[in-house]
Amino acid sequence: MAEIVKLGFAPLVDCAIPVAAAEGGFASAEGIDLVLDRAPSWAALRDKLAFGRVEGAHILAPLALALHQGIAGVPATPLVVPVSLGLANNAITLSMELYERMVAAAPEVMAGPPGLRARALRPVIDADRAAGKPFLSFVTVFHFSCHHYELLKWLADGGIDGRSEVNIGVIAPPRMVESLAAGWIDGYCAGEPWNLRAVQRGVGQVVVTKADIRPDGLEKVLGLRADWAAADPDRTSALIRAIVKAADWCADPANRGDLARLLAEPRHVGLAADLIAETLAGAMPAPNRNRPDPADVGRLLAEMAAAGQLDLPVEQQEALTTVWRADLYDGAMA
Amino acid sequence: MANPEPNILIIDGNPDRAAVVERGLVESGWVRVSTIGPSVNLLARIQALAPDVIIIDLENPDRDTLEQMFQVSRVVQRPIAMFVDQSDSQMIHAAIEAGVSAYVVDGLRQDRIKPIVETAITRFNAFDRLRRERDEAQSKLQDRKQVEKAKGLLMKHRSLSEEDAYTLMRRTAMKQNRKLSDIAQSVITAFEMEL
Repeated sequence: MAEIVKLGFAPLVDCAIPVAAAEGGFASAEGIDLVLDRAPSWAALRDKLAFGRVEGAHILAPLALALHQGIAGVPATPLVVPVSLGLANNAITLSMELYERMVAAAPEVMAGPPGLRARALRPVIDADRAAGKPFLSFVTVFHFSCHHYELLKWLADGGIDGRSEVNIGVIAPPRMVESLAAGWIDGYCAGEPWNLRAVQRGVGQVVVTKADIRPDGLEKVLGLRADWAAADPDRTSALIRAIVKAADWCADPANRGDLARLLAEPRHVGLAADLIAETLAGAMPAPNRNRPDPADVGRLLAEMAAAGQLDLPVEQQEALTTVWRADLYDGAMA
Repeated sequence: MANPEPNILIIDGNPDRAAVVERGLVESGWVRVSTIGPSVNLLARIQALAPDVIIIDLENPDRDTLEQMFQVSRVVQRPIAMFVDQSDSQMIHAAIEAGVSAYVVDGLRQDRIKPIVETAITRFNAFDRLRRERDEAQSKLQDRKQVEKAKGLLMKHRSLSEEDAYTLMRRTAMKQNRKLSDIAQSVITAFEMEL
């Protein structure tokens, strides 16, 4: 009898790994009947995980820590992270108007390295302030997200305090392009295909990609409820193996066409297969990057502290690194 | 407090369900209810309405926007997620089951919020039941149309009486342990292939 395991996922291209595990036979080969639960927002995914509607989820790495720590808007939910799921290929897209103002204000900066282009925002922000104009508004996908930290870091590298000199909000990615086109926002940090979309429609310009801000930054993980993972270690190992084998399959360029078609289905991501295929190239972790690296936790906690979300004493930070369970990964893959 | 009646805002991508929930709340005596659909300028709308309680469907993508807004905004009074207060886990599970989530301005007493959320849960469930019943009725109608069509084909091409055509399909369905509408569909497909 196959064990039923329910995993939540957000409809993004990097949900490829759990989807491939469920649909490509990797889960059933391990004796697991993997049932996927599509959550259209991170808040919904978090609630489902916190209140036991799912056993685990494809989840933003900082959200997993926030949920474990009890600062994510729901009661603390102890989690374990036995697999890393992706580095993603996020980018920051600006409105044409803002991009052109930056080019006009500091052409030499805009011609230089993308990671430092926020320096060209300084004269724009100063001019706005002198003219009494409202703050520039940027959005990301969720406050406990790498997108949020990448935007803050890019701004900080340009000498701008993202917490006091601009507004940073949250909008669901499918609404970002129209919000940019309508002038509600001046820019956003999101994964693909949402940057590509704005460029194709001629309403935005990509100013920098993740590779120039935070190249090794972890993006998504597999988060499991700690009580569930501990209740049946063999079952947990089987799930880890299914996910890692699916990740290897996803990382093979030969499978990209099949994967794109699978993800294109409305019950998964629900976008055109060719658009997905185009974005898949940079979204998958390199092979062997699925083993959770406890050093990622330290990096994430530093970013959460810089964002004003969580400031923990060192010993508590060390305690949190134990959420990342390389031992579970090693045990399952041995 | 000048106005003891809580100001309730319903955010729902489904206008029919929003109307059902709104009516339920008004009929139970909460008259200060407003509703909005999906919106690109959510913050401005919420600022204008200044709700004490926000009822929003659990799956609504705007929830991510709301939560960030509540974390940083200096203009909106900070509502918190209903799920933070775990004193009534039975209600929380009922809410999740029904697909309801709620945000409540800090300081509003739990005993005043509970009946509002419970009303929303009841209404969400009622809406769900109505929709299910409608879908079932539609699929039953569809089944009956299929059976009629198959019967007509058998009568025309196999020169059977109406009763014999029906009996033949029913007997086949019983023998194969399948639904009558499935047999009807097979009959239709078979004739379509012959034509």
